[in-house]
Amino acid sequence: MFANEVKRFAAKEIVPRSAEHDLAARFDRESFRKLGDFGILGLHFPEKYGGSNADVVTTTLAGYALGAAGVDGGLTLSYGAHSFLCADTIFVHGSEAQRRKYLPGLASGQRVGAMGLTEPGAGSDAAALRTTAKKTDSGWVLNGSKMFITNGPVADVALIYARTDAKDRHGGVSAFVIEKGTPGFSSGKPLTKMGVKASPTSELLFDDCEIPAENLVGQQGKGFDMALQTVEWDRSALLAPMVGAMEYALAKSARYAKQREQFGRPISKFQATRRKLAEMKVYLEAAKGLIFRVAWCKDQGRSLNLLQAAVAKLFVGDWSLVPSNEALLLFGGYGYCHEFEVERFFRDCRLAPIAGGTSDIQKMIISKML
Amino acid sequence: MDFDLSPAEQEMVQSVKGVLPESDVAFAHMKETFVADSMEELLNLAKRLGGVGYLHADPGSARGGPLGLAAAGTMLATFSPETFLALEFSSRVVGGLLSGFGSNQVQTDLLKQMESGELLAATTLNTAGLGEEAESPVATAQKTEQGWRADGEADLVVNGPLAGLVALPARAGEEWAWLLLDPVWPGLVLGPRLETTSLNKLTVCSVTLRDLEVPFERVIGPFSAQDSLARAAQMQTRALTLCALGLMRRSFKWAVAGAKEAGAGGRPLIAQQNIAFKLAEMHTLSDTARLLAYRALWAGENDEADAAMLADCAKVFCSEAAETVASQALQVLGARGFMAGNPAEESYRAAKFLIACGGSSEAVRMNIGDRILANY
Repeated sequence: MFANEVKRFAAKEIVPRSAEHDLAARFDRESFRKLGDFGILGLHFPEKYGGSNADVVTTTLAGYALGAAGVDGGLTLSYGAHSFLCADTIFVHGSEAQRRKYLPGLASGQRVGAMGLTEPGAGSDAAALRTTAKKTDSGWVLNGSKMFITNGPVADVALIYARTDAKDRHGGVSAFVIEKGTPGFSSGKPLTKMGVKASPTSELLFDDCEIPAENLVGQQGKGFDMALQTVEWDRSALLAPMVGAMEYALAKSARYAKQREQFGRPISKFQATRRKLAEMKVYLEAAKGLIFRVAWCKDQGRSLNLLQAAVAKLFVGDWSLVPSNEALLLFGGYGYCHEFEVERFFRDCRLAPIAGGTSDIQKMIISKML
Repeated sequence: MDFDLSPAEQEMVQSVKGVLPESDVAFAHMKETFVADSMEELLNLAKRLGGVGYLHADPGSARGGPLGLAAAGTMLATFSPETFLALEFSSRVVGGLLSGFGSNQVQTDLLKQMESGELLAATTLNTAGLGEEAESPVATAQKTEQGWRADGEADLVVNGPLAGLVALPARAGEEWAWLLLDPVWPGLVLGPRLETTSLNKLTVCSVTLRDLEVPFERVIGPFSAQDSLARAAQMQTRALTLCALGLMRRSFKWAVAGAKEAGAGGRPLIAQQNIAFKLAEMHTLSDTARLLAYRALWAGENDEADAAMLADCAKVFCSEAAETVASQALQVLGARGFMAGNPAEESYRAAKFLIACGGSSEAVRMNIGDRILANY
């Protein structure tokens, strides 16, 4: 019921704008605000912070419904980075003052959030980050840069991980919240990407960026653990729109197959077409179970199961390429054209095995746990 | 890592574990696979499994429920896929028919014996190859004053050479009936046991019926095709899907253990990223398959609208994943994997049976495609 409500809302308010923004590679702030107005952006936060107190499964369901309605991967990626990587970390680890200051604006979509962990020289090896935060009498001074930051060019609030102890590789990382306009903090030029184009990505630069002491989020030296805590969100609610998009592509392909005629009959009459649809469905159903398992376990208050999380990420990342490819092939020449949307789905899916921990990293995690 | 099972479900798993010839079904014992390859041996095991409630015909009302039974079945399939399949075709496919459609007398006379493991039943394998184009040979039945007269043949009857009861579907005009036959009845001829490329201890033969007189009380139906045939197909799909999970677990464990042994240069194979990543992919497939299979079972037991679709998706995914995992296990083990009699090569050959039979992957994909098109 709730998922259908989200789908109806998205189909009416968001999807008609998706193609235009994807083509222009432009962040759709209006749609983002609408997500906030509908309650999506802060769904799992308590009401006092502008949320609805939803559990993780419900939140994952909302993400799935956005994808299934046809919302582009760019907007849903921006939503994921905003709600789960930035806002949730403030919610879980921030002080009460930080929560009250930042969460209502982030939940409503009035402000856009970003998270900065990856650096030019620290991608999969996140603990190798070199951005520093040095303690001063009045607070902290940050120097360095972050790379591939979702929402970087448009973020009003950024949660940044920086090194506070050069000697301690994992324990020397801390998290800070930094607002747009802070002297010494700037974003680079938006990067031109293959997919998820409506989600702006850029470098973030810190040049003697001074911030007050109260901008430290959580305990000093606990940043790496805090970043790890987002993994469950990343492997459930953040992946959910991509899995939902498989359903959208399947529905679109089935409808197309029924009306597209070749050799005097609809292509749905050909076994090759039905096989493609079946292939998409099998992978969709397999992927669905994995993300909701991670969500359900988090709802039960279980400690992070890295193995299950890695399996979800690896499967959705690598195997989602099958349905996206099948959909494109089913549409033939039209599939290669922007107007038919499946090429966008195909491009957006290519990010799944890369972002948030590559497939190779997931294989390393899994194999170490066998 | 394992799936959550309730105490009742765990109890069923433990009960079945306790019944198996080695109380510890640990990997070390898997090499010397126990296979029940005589009637006496199979019935002895069946009686012990019946004693703990494992052979209940209806998974929904069995002790431990559908998931407990599935988890226990997966363990049995890991241990001995042939024994698992033999008992599934008997208790769940034929037993399910008797439980769902049989008269009180049939249930008293035959079903109780099957559920207690005293009677092994045989039935035909669903051989649908490419959807509506394929059709297996079938028996026909005509009503007479004394009962029914049956003619025809069935070409792949699982448990045929060992069973005390042969359940065959037969066309009865526009409808279908199930004939519950005693293999010693005049007019029923069992063909020679067929040789197969895998699952060699699963006994299969053809059955020919010539003017066979079948008493009224040994006929279930007639029904429309959607009723009893669908139920039998559903139970076969369930059996083959769970067997795929067992094969995956079997070959994967074998591969992991092999990869942890010292290889060339004294380092374990798993220290090589090429091997470690292969194992990670195998684990991902196995884990995903199990989740999908259990979800499909849950949907079936709860009469979810998409239950049939999910069951088909699970059959395709799990059986093909079983082949992939076994193939990769064979690769990881190298020459050792290629030697006859190890779980990887056995599972590799056995997975073919699951992909090709009980509705081939091609046929099931057509079913899935048709359902998708009907939904949009």
